[in-house]
Amino acid sequence: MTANEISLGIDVGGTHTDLCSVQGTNIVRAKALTTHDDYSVGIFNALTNVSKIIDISVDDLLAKHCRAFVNGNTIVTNSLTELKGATVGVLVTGGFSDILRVGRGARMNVRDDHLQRNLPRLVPQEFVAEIDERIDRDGEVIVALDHVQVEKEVRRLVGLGVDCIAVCFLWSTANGSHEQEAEEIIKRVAPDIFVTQSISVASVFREFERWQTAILNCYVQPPVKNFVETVADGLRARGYERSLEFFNGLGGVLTEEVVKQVPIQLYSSGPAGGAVGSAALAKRYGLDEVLCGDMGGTSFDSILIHNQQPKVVQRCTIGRFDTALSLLDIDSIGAGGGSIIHLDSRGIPQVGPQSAGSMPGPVCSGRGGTEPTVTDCMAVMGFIDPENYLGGEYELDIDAAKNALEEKVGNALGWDATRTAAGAYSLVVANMANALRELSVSRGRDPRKCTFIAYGGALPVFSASVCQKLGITDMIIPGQSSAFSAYGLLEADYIRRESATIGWLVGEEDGYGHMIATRDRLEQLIRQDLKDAGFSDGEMQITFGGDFRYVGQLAEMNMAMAKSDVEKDLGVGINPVFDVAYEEEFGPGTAWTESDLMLVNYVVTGVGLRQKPDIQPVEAKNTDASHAILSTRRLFLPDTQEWVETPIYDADKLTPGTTFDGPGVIDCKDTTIYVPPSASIKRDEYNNFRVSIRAD
Amino acid sequence: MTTNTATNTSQTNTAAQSASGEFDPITAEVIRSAFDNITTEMSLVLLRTSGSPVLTESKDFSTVLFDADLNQIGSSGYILLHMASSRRGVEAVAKARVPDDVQPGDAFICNDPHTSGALHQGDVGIVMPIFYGDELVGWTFSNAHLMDIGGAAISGFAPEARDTFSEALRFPGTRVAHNAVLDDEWVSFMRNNVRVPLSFISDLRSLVAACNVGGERMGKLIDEYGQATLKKYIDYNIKLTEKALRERIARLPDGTYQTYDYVEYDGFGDDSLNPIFCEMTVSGDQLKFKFSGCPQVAAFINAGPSASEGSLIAPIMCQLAPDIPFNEGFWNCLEIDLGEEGSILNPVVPAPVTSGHASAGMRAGRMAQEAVAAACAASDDEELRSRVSGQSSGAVTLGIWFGEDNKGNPSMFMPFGMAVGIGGSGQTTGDGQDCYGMQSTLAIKWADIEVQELDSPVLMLWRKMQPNAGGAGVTRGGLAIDEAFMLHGANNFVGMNFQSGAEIPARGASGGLPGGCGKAWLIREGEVEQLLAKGKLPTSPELVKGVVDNSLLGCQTNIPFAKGDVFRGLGGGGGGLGDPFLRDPALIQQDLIDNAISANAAEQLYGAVFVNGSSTAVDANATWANRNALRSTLVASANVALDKLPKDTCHADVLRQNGSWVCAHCDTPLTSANESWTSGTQTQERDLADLFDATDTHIRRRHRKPVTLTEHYCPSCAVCLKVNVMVDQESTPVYNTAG
Repeated sequence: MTANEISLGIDVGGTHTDLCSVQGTNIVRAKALTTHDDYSVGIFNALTNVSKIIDISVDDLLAKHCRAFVNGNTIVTNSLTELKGATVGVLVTGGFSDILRVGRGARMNVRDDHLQRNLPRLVPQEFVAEIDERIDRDGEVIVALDHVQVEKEVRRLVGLGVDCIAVCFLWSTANGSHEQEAEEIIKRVAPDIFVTQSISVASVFREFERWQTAILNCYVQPPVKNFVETVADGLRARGYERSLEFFNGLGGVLTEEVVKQVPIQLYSSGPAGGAVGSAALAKRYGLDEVLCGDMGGTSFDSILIHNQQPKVVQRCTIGRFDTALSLLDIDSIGAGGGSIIHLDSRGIPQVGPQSAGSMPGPVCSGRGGTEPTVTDCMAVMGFIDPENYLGGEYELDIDAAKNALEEKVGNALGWDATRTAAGAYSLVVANMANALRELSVSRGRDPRKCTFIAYGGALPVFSASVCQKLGITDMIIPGQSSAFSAYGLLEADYIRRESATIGWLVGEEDGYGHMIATRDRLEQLIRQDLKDAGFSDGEMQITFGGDFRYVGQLAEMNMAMAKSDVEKDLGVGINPVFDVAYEEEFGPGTAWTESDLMLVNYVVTGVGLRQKPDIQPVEAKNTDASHAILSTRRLFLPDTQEWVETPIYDADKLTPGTTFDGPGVIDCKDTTIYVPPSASIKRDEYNNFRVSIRAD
Repeated sequence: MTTNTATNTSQTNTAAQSASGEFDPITAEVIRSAFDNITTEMSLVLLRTSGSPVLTESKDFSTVLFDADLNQIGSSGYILLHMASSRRGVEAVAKARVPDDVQPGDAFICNDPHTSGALHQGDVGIVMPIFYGDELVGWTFSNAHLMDIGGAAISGFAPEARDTFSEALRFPGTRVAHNAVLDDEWVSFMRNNVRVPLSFISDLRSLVAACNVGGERMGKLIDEYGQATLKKYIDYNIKLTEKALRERIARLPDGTYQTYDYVEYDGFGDDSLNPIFCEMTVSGDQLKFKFSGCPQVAAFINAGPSASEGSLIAPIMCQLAPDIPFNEGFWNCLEIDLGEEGSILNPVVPAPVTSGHASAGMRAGRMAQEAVAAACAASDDEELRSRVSGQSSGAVTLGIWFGEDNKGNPSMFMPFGMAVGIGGSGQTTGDGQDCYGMQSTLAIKWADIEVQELDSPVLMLWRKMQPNAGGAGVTRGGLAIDEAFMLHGANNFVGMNFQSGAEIPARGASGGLPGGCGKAWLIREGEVEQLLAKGKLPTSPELVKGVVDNSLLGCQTNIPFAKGDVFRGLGGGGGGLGDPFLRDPALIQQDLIDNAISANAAEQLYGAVFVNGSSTAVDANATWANRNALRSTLVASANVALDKLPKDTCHADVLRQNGSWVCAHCDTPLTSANESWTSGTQTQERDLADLFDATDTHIRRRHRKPVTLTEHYCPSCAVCLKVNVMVDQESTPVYNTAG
């Protein structure tokens, strides 16, 4: 990329629209408030803010300099949380429409009977049409599709005013002809209706998840289409002529055209951009085991990065919806800046999961909040700069925070505000540590061997303490911590993943031909898709893999393989390799070596390589940091549980190579980094903060 | 045998202690969440490595952590019944082995309801000691329902066994692993004795691995805090929980709450109903359950002690105190008396017990659920009154089938949906959850149609929600599943079937009606093949036609099942809450649109009147007028204006005021507070099977000792305050509150 070319990553979150601009090695960040009635307004506000910093007008930026525009957003999440989406009609195999209501059971692992409610209804009963058709597991047609009935039901649904129709038939994975024929009838009868066949969004068995995914794809289509068109029109009107790319939950980007067909693919939760950014950092630093985390207003989100690839999880659950989607394996708990501190029925303090959100927000922000939050605790302990709270937009009302902490929690325990706040700090740290431990252990990793990459505006105050709790000794806080998710968008490739259920027993001739044909068909599909998106053969990376399980088990495990692995001696070489991978994941001695191995789903992934920011190391001079001390502030240190006059360092003055030992706080304007007494920190050659934490 | 678990009733002043600095509540909470984290980690190991669909898909398992004094200190949720089996399993091992016969890495198998706390033999528990250095510091427990454990019991159920020796292998806490590795001798013995050895051995390994991981994590926690501190905080957390639960119990009115149920069994053709009773006493901050029942029977329905204890802990955990973190402190507040030895609720060898948890135990849980609800209803405390509900269904309909497919491969088919797709009870916050499972089975699930068809040679014909299964009420009970299948790719299977709640339904509360029953049909000579050939789907019994095989009993084994036969199973529905005549007509209309109730049910149970010519549009004004007219006829003394009643008391039945029981809806005194208030009501008796037949609700009609519905109406406002389900007027529940 030439020196003038600029890449823009824009992350439209619930509260803020973060923008990261990369021009050569120059990375700049800016923010604006998210404008929910018209997202493009917030995006242009952020663009205006960044244009001031880099001193290029928005029009010039878009028309002349901008080479890539990658957007991450929460449109799908919002639509599903608020249950605002399309009026969806469904065609479903006769006898099975109620699967859409109850799935595999709605009971949650929650004790309170009052919380045990049915699954949210996306499609009212009268919008579901049962169709006479049946295919069995071998793809044999048991009952042919009743075309007359389909046409009649489609007319009825259209009469009811549906925007979209999902076609959900049993075993369409074994034989897709009925879903295809039904779509053709719909297109003929009602050409304007958006149609999704269940196999077009997820060609894998387990009907509930596949059907649900098709229905969700329909449900979120109008808001996604509206968003994509609004942003595209806005940018094009200001002279931007290149393609727009949208970040998806798999950690890649998709083109406008693909997004309009499979809008559900846009689903991604907050830190997915950061996960991709973290994977890029892991590659840059040569780290094999990484945990990364982000803390927002309501939640702490984390993900494991193994061998520089963010972990992907199959069969993701979105809220209470089980889906067939494969997404980045992001784990979320209710521990954010807005999480409320309260006493439980035993009189013991708890943090969250209720949150004060951004409105009314923490008590200290003076916007009407009355419940003490995690942010209030940090204010009381002195970690928030009263001079520069929320960029100086708000006055920090520490006394109000103190009163709330004492009134709602502390008084009952005989504690003052400081002790209450410090207690809450410990709880937040313990909750995060538990989440990270569960995340790594459930994926077969030891957290102590991981590097923790902590980003976002709020997490770096807690992250060193979290490391201490887990025995993690190495942590990286990106230089652009608060806009790291937006930065991560620029590190994403174009990713498409196709899979198909085949159920082939490894080593068997039976079904071998079908498996090979499926593999080749998927590869063709992916290559064509990448070609359509504008990638040349040289820019394509096609990888092959399978979801395998031992016969007798029900859960599959994904394993990568070479294209030819299934060919040599009918693939018998796969068995021992899978055994090893399985035991690496689940522990020694766990492989079912006596069982046959089944390749349940063949998976082909296509990566269209995009040009990435060209980040080069700069010279790092080992220097003392005393020149960067702005001032000192009295902080209540959670480690020693006492007030300590602590040096505050100016992030801008910490040049590469600068090192200091804790305790200390780095003020990055929009982020506060806490370096505890048992840690030391260094600004490294990539302008990131590298923290060493001594094990206790 | 009497189980008295009440130990320390001395009150601790936690606030004072924290102020004095002896205990830090934050440390207490961090340690408590660490214990939960450990059990979660154990469950992840299990879930990720097991091959049993009942475990991975249905979540029929649990993991629990104990300290060296056998206190329960952490658990991962899921099957609450195992909160009891884990205590008894660990106790059985510890009593027999400590101090000399237990080494690090030992694993003991517990699957015997009689001696080692299991619910039934198919639920296999593994107990492992935790050592820190050479000191025994605690125990881990993991449990899963395995595919098989040998003997006549297929997957742990033996409907026709006459004694426990003919059921399945029973392990009283037998050592099966050294250094966390399964013993080869034992493995080869088991390989010889179970139907699906590969899956059995693998699951056993997973259970041991889970316990082992729990032990390792506990060791790290001791490293972090030191043993003395950890011990101190374990005790403190137990005291905190106990204190909070005692405060909750103290808010319930003192008194005794008596209730009853019947355990069904017709496996030997005698359609017996086996009566059981429960008396719950609230006395200050202590809760006592005293059970009794008929003598143990020579059939698999007797409940081993864990089945009853585990069932009764569910309403305490889910209804009375869902907000209080669970640990040994719960048990400290309870006194449980299982009654005389040799009864159906306190059986001794050789009583068969393989369905103990699904039969007598499930019923014990429903009695406890009803007693807790009655105590909440009698309370003046609004929060506790909001926890009133009817009984959730426990009606399990289970069939397990095997045979060879057309390729000669052996295959086992266990459609779990009809066993666990049973309705929850109507709540004060809304209708009961559909397919909720038993109250004690959190997160219970079943497998997809495609998973079942991939693994077994069957074609599923339908999977529906059964209209009217939810008991009628202001909030109705949750619906239950209705599914059917036939062989596809196989010609002849045999199987077993049992229906634990086909005749006596889950009762409602505060005037709500009982839910539908669970039931099964075997349909032979149906028209399925002909229909399919004509291009039509057989999506209902009406279309399947054929002949119902009347020889199918509620509990039976060796049932032949051939190509062309259809097996249909229903789960039971939950009880309703509040008089159905007070349900919002708009909700009835929505239920009709959703096919949650039929038009017959809307008219007859809810008094609905339809808008001219419509079968779903409900005329609200006409409905209220119709209700008032019907009730005026029924309760001649009353001045009926149901539509004018305050809505916020819809879930209540009676209140205590000035030494009297008064109707909660109109404040009219019924009786003095030391009498049974139902004596002051006007009653109506109806045959339950007749009513259910007329309202398209399922039940198996009893010809001997039919089931009667007794409805109690306020003589003044005609609201239905209570609905009893009785056999031959044998018994009625009595609730006496003191004072």
